[in-house]
Amino acid sequence: MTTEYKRSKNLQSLIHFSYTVPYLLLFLCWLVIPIIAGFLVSLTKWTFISGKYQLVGLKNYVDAFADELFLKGIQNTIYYTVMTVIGGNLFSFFLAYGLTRVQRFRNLFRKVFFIPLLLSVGITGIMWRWLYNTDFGLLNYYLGFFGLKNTNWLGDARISMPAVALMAIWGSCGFNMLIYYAGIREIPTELKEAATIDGAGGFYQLWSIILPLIRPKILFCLVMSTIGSIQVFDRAYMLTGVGPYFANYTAIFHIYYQAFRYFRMGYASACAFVLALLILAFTSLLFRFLGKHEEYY
Amino acid sequence: MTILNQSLHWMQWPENRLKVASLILLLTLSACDPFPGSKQQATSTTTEKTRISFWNGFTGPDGQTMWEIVRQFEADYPQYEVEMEIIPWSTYFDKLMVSLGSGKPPDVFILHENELVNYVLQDAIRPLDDLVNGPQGVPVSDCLSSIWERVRIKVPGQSEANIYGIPLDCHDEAVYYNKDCFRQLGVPLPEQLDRDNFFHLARQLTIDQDKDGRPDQWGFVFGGSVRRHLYTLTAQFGGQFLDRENGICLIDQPASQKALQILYDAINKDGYMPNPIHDGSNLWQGFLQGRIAMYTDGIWMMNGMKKLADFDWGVLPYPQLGDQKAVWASSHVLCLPRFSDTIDGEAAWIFLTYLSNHGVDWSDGGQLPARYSQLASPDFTQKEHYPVFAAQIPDIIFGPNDPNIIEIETRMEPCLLSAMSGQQPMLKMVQEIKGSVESILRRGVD
Repeated sequence: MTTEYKRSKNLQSLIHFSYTVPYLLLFLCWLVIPIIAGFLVSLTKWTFISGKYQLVGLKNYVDAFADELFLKGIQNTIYYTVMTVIGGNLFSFFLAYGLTRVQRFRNLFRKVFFIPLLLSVGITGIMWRWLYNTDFGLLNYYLGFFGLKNTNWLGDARISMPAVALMAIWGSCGFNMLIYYAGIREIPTELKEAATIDGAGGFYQLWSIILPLIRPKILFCLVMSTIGSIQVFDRAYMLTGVGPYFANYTAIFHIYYQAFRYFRMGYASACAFVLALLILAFTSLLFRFLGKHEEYY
Repeated sequence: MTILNQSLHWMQWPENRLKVASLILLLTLSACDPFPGSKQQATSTTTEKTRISFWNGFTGPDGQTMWEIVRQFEADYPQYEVEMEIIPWSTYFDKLMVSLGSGKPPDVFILHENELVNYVLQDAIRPLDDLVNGPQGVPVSDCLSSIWERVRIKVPGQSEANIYGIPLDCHDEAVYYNKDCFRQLGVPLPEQLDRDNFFHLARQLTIDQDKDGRPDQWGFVFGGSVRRHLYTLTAQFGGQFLDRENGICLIDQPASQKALQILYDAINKDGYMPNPIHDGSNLWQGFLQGRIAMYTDGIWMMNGMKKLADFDWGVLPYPQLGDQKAVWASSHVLCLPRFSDTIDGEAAWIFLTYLSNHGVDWSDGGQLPARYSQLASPDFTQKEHYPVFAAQIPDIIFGPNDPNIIEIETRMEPCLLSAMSGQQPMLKMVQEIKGSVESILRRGVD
C-alpha cells in the first residue's frame, strides 16, 4: 500500500465525513448540547426568568420518585403505551395484511387509512370530542341501535384513557400500515407458493412465513410507536386535558406543567430524564426480544 | 456499469474533490450569518413611530373591544404604534415565560391578579412605585382597594411592599337566568337569591316532563370552575381555604365542608344541577338552549349574551347561601417586565395608563372597571345588567394569594369535580386535596 494511496484514502474519508458535517452540527446544537444542558439543569433549582440557580444534586430526582402525581403520570403513560402500541400495531398489521389480499380499490384504501396521519391533532381532537359527546355524539348514537345506554366516554375515569388511545390508534395506524404493507409485499412469492404446495394454510403462512420475515419491520414499528406513545401529550390535552380525576394525566403533562406553569425547570428536567430512561427501558426490551438478526432469504 | 465507472473516475480527480469540499464548506458557512442584527437595525432606523408590544389572552369578543381601545390610543398618540398580540390563555404563559427569560418580553402584558405574586418572586416584573407616584401616575385612591392590595406585594428580604401591576378591570360572578323558564312555570322573578328561596326555586325550576329520571330542564348550575364556588361559599360561611402563615389547607374545616355539601347536594341529593362530568362542555350551551333556568358565571359572559336578540335573560346577584355575602372575583393586571432589551419604558407606561384610564370602554368587553370614578360614571351606570355585578364589589373575595396557587388549583380542581359529581368519595378527595396542598405549601417556591 503506497503512501500516495493512503493519502488519497484519507482525503476521500475526509470528504465523505464532510458530507455529514451540516447534520452533525445540527445534531450537536439541537440534541447533544440540550441533553447535556438539560441534565445539568436537572441538578439545580433554576429560576428560568432571572437566570438564578442553585445546585441541589439529586434532590429533584428524589422528589420525582416521591411525587404521587408524577408516578400517576408514569402509570397512565404506561397504560396508554401498552394500549396503543399493542392495539395500534395489531390493527395496522391486519389492515396491511388485508390490503395485500384485496385487488380492487387497494390504492384508495391505502390513501384513506393514511389520511388521519395528515390531519392536525387539533382538528382530530375536536372531531373526536364531538364523536365522544355523551348526548349528541355519533358513537353513542350508533351504539344506541344495539340498546346500549349513553356512555360518558371522556368523563368517566375508567374509560377516558382507552378513549384517548382509540383516537391515537385511529390517527397513527396509517404510518405503521404502510411499513407492514411494504414488508409483506417484499416477501418473495416463491416462499408462499412453496408453502401452499406443501399444504400450509393461510394462518400457518401468516404465522410461520410472514411474521418472521417482517420481524425487522415489526421491531421498527414497535419501537417508533413506543417512543411516540410514551411522549403522549397533544391528544390527551385536546380531548380531555388531565381528564377526570387525573385519568389522562401523563408524564409529559407533569413535565409541561412543572416547567412552564410552575416554573420548576430543574425538577421538570429531572422528570424528563426519568421519562427518557423509561423509553430506553422499553425499547431495550423490544430489541432484546425482537432484535435478533436472522436472514431467511 | 458505465455510469459507475464514470463517477469513480470523477472522484479520482483531486481538484474536483477539493472543489466539492470547498463548496460544502461555503454552504455551511453561509448558513451562519455573522451580522444577525443588521437587517433588524436597517428596518428599525426607517420606522419613525415608537412601537409598543402588548400581549394578552383576550381571544373572545373582548379582544375586539381591546383592539378598538388600542386603535383609539394610536389615534390619540400618533407617535406610538401598538403591536398587540392575542394569544390563547392555554399557551399564553408558555410564551410569556420564555420571552421574559430570553430578555425579549412584550413591553406591556396582562396577568391575572393571582398569578402576579409568582412572577414577582421570579423577578420578572418591574416595580411601578416610581411611575405610579410620578407626574403621569395613577390615582391610587381611585383604584378599587381590594384589588390594589393584590398588586402590592412584599418580596422576602424587602422592608416594604411594592406595586407590581395596575388593575385593568375586575370580574366577578353572578347568576344569569332565563326569564322564559320562570314565566312558563308562573314563578315570579326573585330580586335576589338566598337560602330561604334558592333551594326551593332551584328544585321548582327542575322539570322532568317525560318522567325518565333525567330532567328536561335543570334549575341551577354552578358554572365554570368548581374551586371558584368553593372559595365563594366557604367565605359566605365565614371561612377561608388556606391559612398560608401556618401552611394549612382548611378544606376540612366546617365552612368548607358546608360549601362542599351544597355543591355535592346540587347534583346528588337535590338534583337541580346536571352532572358536569357528564355534560360539562355543554352546560352553557344548555342554558342558551333553554334547558337550564339559572347559571352562575362571570361577567365576561356578558359580551356574548348581549348579542342574543331572541333570548330573554336577566342577571341576579350570586346567591347568598351562607351567613354573609361573598363572591369570588379576579382582575386583569397590566404589568411591565423587569428585564428587557427592547422596552421603551416611557411609551409603555403611557400606554398602560391609557388602558387603565379607559376602564369604561374596556367594560364593553365584559368587565367591571377597576376604579371608583369609572364605576360611578354615567357611561357605566347606564349600562344594562352591569350594575348587578358592580353592586357586589364590596363583597368580593379573591382566591388564595400564594405563589404556588396555579399548581394548587390545578391539583385540586379534578379532585373537586370528581367529589362533586359523586365519582370519588368526598372524604377521600378532601384528604387528598389537603395533603397535596399542604405538601406544596411546605415546599414553597422553587
